[in-house]
Parts: sequence; C-alpha cells; structure tokens
Amino acid sequence: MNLRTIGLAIVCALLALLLSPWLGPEPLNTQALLHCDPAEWNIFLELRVSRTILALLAGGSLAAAGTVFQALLRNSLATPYTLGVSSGAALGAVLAICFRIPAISLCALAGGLAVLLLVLRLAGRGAPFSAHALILAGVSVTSVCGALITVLHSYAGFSQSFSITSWLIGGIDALSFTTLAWFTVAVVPVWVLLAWYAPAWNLLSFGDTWAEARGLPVKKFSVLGYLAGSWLAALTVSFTGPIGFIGLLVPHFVREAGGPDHRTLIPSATLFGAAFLAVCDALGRTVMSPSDIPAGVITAIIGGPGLVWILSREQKGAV
Amino acid sequence: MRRALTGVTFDLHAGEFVALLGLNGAGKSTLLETLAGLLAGYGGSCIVQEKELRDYARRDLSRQVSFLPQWQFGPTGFSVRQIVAMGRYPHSAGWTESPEDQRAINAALEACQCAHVADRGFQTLSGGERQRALLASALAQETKILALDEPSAHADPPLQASLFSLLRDRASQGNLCIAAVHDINLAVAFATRVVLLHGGGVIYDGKVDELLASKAFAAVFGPQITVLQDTAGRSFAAYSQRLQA
Repeated sequence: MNLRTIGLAIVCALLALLLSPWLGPEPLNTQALLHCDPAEWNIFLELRVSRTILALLAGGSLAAAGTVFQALLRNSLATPYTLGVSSGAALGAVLAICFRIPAISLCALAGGLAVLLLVLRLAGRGAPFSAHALILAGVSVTSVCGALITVLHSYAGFSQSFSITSWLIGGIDALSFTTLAWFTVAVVPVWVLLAWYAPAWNLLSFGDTWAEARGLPVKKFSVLGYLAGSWLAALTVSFTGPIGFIGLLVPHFVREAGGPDHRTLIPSATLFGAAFLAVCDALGRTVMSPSDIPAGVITAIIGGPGLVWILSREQKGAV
Repeated sequence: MRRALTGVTFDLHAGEFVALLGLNGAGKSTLLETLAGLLAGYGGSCIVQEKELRDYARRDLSRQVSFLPQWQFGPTGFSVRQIVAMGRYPHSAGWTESPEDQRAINAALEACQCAHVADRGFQTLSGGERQRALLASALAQETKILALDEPSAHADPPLQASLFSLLRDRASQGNLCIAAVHDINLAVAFATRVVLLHGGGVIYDGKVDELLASKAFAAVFGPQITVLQDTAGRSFAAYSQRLQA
C-alpha cells in the first residue's frame, strides 16, 4: 500500500474543494462575502460550491468505477461506460427530452440501469460473466442505443435537438443541496465498499482462476463489482451527461504513480478523479469567460493527449 | 460437453509427492482443477480431509488446497512480493498483512529462492523467475495439499531440479503434493508415486521405479520414448529418434 499516493490524493481533493468555488467568470467579492451580503453568498453557495461538490462526486465516482472495471475486465482500456451504461443513460435522457418528460435525470438513470441488466443477462449465458462476453454485449448494446439516439435526434425539433446535443456533451451544472445530499448518500458508501474489497480486485485483476484458487468467490465479487461500478456510472451520467476520459485516464495515471495495488488505487483514483473533474469544470468556466465550456470538453482536451502520453511511457517501459 | 475423465478412483495421502503424467488432453489439468474446487460439475465424489469438496466454502477449501494454475497471466504491474502476498487471502481478515502473513510470505519467498527479486515487478522477470514467484504464492497459502499444474514450466534444468526437490521436501514434512508433469525423468527422479492418465482414465497408479518398465508406459509413450539404463542400473527415458540416428 502506497500511503504517499493516498496522501497526495487527499491533498489534491481538498485543494480542489477549497479553491474551485473561487474560480468563475466573475471574481467573487470577498468584502461582500465577509459582510454577509445575501446575493454574493447566494452566488458562492448555490452556484460555485454546489457545482464544485457535484464535480467532486461525479469525478470520484467515474474514476472509482473505471478502476474497478479495468480490474474486472483485465483491460486497461475499459471505462465505466464499457458495459453500455452511459449509452443507456443517454438514450433514457434523449427519450425524456423528445417526449418532454421533465425528469430527465431519472429517465437517464432508468436507461442506464436497464441497459446494465440487459448486458448482464446477455453475458450471463454460456460462460457466465466472462470479460469477453461482457465487452461484446456492452459494445453491441452501445451500438443499438447509439443508433436509436441518432434516429430520435434526427426527428427532434430545434430546441430539443439543442438540448440533446448539450446533454450528450456532458457537463457540470449547479444542483440543489438536497439533490447533492441524495447523490452523496448514493455514491460515497459505494466508494467505501469498493475500497474495502480492494484485496478482491487485486486477485481478480490477476485472473479468475487465480482468484478462485486463492479463496475468492469470483462470480459473487464480479457481479458486485459490475453492479457497484455501473451504479456509480449510471447515477453520475444521469446528473452530468456522459463525461469522458476520467474513468479511463485517472486509473492509468494513479497506477503509474502508485502501483497496481487496489488498496492504493481505489481511494487514490477516487480522490484524484474528484479533484480532476472539479479543476476541469473550474477551467471550463474561466478560460473563455463569459462562455462556459462544458467539463466534458475540457476532460477530452486534457484526457486525449494525456492518455497517449501515458501509453507511450508504458510502451517504452520508462516507468 | 466432453467428459475429460471417467471412472477415476484413487486415494491420496499425506507425505506423498504424486506426479500426474499423460499426453496433452489426458485430463491432468482437469483432475487438478477438480481437486482445487474449480470444477464443481464433476460426477461422483471427491473427498478432501473427510469432507466432500462441494460442501466446502470457497475460502475454507483454499485453506486446505493451494492450486498453481498453468501459465495464463497477462500484463501486470504487481511486484513479486504483492503476488506472493495474494496467497495469504484465505487467511487474512482484510486490508493489512498480519505478522503471521509477513512470516509466511517471507518463508515462501526464501523457499522458492526469489527473496532477492521480491520488490521487482513480476513483468520484468524471466519465465523461470515468474514460475518461482507463482509457486511461492501457492506455498504462502500454507495448505496441507498442493495441487500444481506444471510447476516447472519455463524453468531451466537446474531450477526444475531445485523446485522438485523443494516439493519433495514439502511432501516429506507431511504434506501432499500432486503435480502435472511432462518431463518423465523429472517425475521419476523426485516423485514418490506416479499416476498415468490416458484415454480418459487412470492406466497406471503405482511406484515410480516400476513405471518405466510397465506396459502402460509403453502404450502411452512408445515408440517415441525408449527406456534405457545408466551405468548404475537406473532406468531413464530417452527419445527414440536420437538413438536411431
């Protein structure tokens, strides 16, 4: 276990929590805040702090889910979206937008979970829950969902089409503190659960037969990991849309820095992922102010070259 | 589904080092995986320490039987020590390694002569060193029964002798070692008993000394393998093609 990496991750997450709310299109008036000006406090809490908390929770969840999926599928290119959860959530959201259902997030969550159940059902036939079957089922379902989204998009009106495009880019918006509290209750215990079972992910990342021979009930833990990771991904996507690269890039980065032991990897990737998305969101609302660039665009701009850099280091054996 | 083995019946005892011989596809790995509790769909009965294998909880069985699978591992960033420490999973309570775990890990690393590479990445080792690390993980499990699928794969001849000597020592200390082996001479030199699988069943189960002279051996390995004797009168197997040349 690499305590230094975990400590660094804690510091990064705390810095993101403390500094990110101060960044935005307009600087906050600290004098007004000190004098308890209600309007300034309203901007600070309802827009900046709320948005930072959502970014931290979403980033942590996507990174934790990506880490577990990479262990279970023994594929370093696996992401929280590999099983099609994101495309299911997107389809749910697009249906809600097209049919003017107001609860877009709930429809997205339902879509994500429905796709997860479908993929598990498809992959559960034959050799149960083999990585190959899961990836194949996930890719197939993702393609079908993508096609349905394209069809719906092409028949949507102008305003609906704009909403669909905005949702599909993925970004962080301010949520009420009540919603954030529910989100926290729904994801943080899953983070703890995934970290608690870190020794199990270590065994599974080395091989199913290896894990089973060392006393791990492989099927039970595989299903637990897929459900927990997909729950985190579906819930996050339902609030933010499909934000890419965090679930892929952050586990890679932390694995390079702190090693493959999931006792280090899960907590560190979760905290680094939280900090990374909070920073990306802060950059998005400041670099081209007053325009607000969606966090999903910033993660892709940083994540694409970042991943290429990490993979090139791996290939050279420089680490 | 094809049956790999049919009507296989034998008893294994503490103190034995049993070599499982047979051609590719004879059922050696199937037999070992069944003993390790990895193939629940077997017919009949398989009793380990007076309890039916199916009735064991997964973790309880792994405290009785440690299993070394055939080489099938992809890229990994784990160090040798981390891989050996995985062998303690059936005994450990959670996140941290107890002093007892540390002792078992260090003992296994020493026994398999890989203490000097303990902190190196598994990926950076040679094939023989990796095999030693994997065997050390199985030893760290500290079970009375060791089921090993080709434990000397990728090892050079001196290392093969060293590993099999280690397994024989383990057996002489009251453990049961059963290993799938392809090198007949290695089995003859170190095992205390040989089980020869062929045609989905056991066609020889007995003393090592009598194996090479048996009809079963000739039926499986002849005419490619010829039995010769050295100057001390000890039998060994040799490739017939070399003799003809």
